Amino acid sequence: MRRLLLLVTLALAAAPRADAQQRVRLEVTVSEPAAETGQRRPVVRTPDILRDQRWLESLQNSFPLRLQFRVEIWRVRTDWFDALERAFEWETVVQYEPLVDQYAKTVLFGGSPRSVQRFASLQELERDLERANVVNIAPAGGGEYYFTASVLIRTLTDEEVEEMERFLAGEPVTDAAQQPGAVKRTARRLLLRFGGLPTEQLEGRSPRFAGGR
Amino acid sequence: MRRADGQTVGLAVAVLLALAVPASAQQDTVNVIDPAAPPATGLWRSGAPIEAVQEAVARYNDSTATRLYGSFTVGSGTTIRGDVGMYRGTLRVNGRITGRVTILNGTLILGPTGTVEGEVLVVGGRFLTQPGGTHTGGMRSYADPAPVIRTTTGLLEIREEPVTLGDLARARTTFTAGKLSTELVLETGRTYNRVEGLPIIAGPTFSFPTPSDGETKIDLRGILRTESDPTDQRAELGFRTRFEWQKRSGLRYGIGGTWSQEITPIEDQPFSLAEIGWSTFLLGRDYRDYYQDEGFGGYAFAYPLRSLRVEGAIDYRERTSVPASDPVNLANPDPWRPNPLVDDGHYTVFRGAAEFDSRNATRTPTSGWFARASVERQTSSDVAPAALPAEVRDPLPTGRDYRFYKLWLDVRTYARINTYARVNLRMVGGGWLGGDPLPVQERVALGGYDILPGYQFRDQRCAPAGYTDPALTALCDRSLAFQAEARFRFRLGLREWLGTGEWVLLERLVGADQADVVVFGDMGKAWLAGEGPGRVPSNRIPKLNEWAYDAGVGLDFDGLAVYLATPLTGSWEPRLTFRLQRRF
Repeated sequence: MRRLLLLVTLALAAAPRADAQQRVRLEVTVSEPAAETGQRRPVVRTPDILRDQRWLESLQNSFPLRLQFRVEIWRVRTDWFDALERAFEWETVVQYEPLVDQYAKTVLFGGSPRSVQRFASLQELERDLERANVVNIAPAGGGEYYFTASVLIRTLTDEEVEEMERFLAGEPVTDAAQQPGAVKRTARRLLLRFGGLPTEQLEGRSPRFAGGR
Repeated sequence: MRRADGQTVGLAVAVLLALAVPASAQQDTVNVIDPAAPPATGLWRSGAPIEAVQEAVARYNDSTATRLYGSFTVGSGTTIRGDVGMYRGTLRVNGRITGRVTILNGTLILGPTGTVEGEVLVVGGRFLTQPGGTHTGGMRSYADPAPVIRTTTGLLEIREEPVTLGDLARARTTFTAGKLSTELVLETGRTYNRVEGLPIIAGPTFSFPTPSDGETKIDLRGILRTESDPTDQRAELGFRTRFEWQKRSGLRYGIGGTWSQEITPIEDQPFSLAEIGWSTFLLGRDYRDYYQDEGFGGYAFAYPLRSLRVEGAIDYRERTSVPASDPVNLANPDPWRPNPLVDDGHYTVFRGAAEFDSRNATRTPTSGWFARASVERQTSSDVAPAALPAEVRDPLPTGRDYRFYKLWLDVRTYARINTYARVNLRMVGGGWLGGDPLPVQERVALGGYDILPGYQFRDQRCAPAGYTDPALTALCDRSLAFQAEARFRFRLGLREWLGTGEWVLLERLVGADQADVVVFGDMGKAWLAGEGPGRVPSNRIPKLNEWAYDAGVGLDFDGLAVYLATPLTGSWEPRLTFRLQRRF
């Protein structure tokens, strides 16, 4: 019985807990080969994104979260540096809409919004954010490959929210550096940055795999 | 004992291992990021995708579906087999539904004993699952209201975009022959006034591409006025022609020319042309003054930035006084306010203007800047001055050309504080900049219904004491005003309150189930510039204690608004104003 209690205690201590200690992670894996082409695609996950209190609190305080992903396909070369074959970037913006008590997730890339999903509860949003993102790109040829990925997680400043809304509305988004208020914007960002709004950059790399057919 | 311990340990380890598995690992679905996915335009502001609305309406209208209108509860132990559609209200499921559930402008609550076995589609509401509730199948939920109406047959139809008042009584058709595109337009002048009544505008627009990604447009419009001129001072028919060539790629620029004869308002305020039209027709109150403007000119423009337009123009115009007619109105039997005389003559107008617009929307902006500035130099060699009091204006020159400069500025900023609060600011003003005194048709006033809604119409018009003028002519040289407002967006919830057919009519009028509470304040001053009693030196603005201040509150249903404002100086006289668009 003592051994049982000891085991339970140890196991409980080892078991992950949904508390403030949890930090978001970045996982990069390789999909199973496609049935017809045998191609393998990068699979990117950010587990525990909303179990990380920094992001959860930011979201609940109406600060949107921006997850800026970049995925790269690298071909392994034995005689020289590995070669970058392709890169793809996208952004996932998550925002709480207190007026309707819902969460919205927008995926953007290539200069356009691609999808918007709304979730009635934080649990539904969390379930979606925990899902793996399969990126529909694959190595072009044979050889040995691996994927790398990075994600920059930030909260948006209010100006950035407005900028994004203009962008989503199809309005022109001018270069912020050319705006008369660039100094003010930069100062405000720095203030927000040093004022405690979190930012985090994560990187990951997949195992090597054989590309192509 | 040992065996028992082993079983217990095994069970505990299994439980703990299960606990130790991250919840995310239990997900068996993925999100696909496809670089080839088409752009999804208009997703942010337009609410649910139209495809989702169409699908929801089709499901609701399906004859095999169980249609519910208003709140409904599926009791515990009750089973509904087949698809269920509900419009407006709350569907509580404490029993069982085996089929697709479609909710339009309502909420689906899955109770502790409730089960839904089928796809759930909610447009204009929420899907809430209470502990114990079970849902199997897909789920899509869109918070923004579905733009649908319920017909007398009980079926749903997608509501067409509400037309603006200016779009009423408008017809147009387009046909193409080769590269030439022709559009025929028949519309009102988007206003109704006491001089020309309802202007009806008709004519074609031709457009065709030119080399180097250019486009040429030619507008030809005839203007038929429903009110004739009792004094023959103006023409019965007007016209407006415009030629414009524009380069549409890279640095956008173009040139154009105009030739027109129109009835033109003296000032750009108060109210918009559409609001003036409804006010004139319904209430018999026309808050603008007009003159006939005929002539031709040319202009050139460029967009050095996407949001910035700069323009230079030169025109040769003949300005003529026109009297008020007697158009019908519904409420006011009194005679119309006379239309003031202007300084008739031929004017050569040099105009430079710039406009910067980074707003996220034109009609209901929530962020961005709008700034417009113009400088004009006008000259005339045959001006025939209207009689004005000496306190207002020195005599116009004789023996040489009459010339003056005028400046106008309008700067607005729209700032978002958080998801439901906005702050908007505006500075608007201008007037005489130099040269000879302004003609009547360039003079300004403040007060009443728009910039200073707490004050009566043209409260500041610079008329000297004892000067009687039933036309209430604007006589000031300059004006300057600042407006500030805070807007707080909230959901009306009228749908839940009414839940009946009455809401249909209200929805047609109000549109979205959201509104703004507006708290605002304004300050402004209009004055005579120059040396002498009652005037402010040309290089100064009046002291702040001479300005007019007002404040008020309002309720704005995305353009259909009511405001209550009171002066903060002088007597306490709240005034009610109805608007058909944002204040600014």
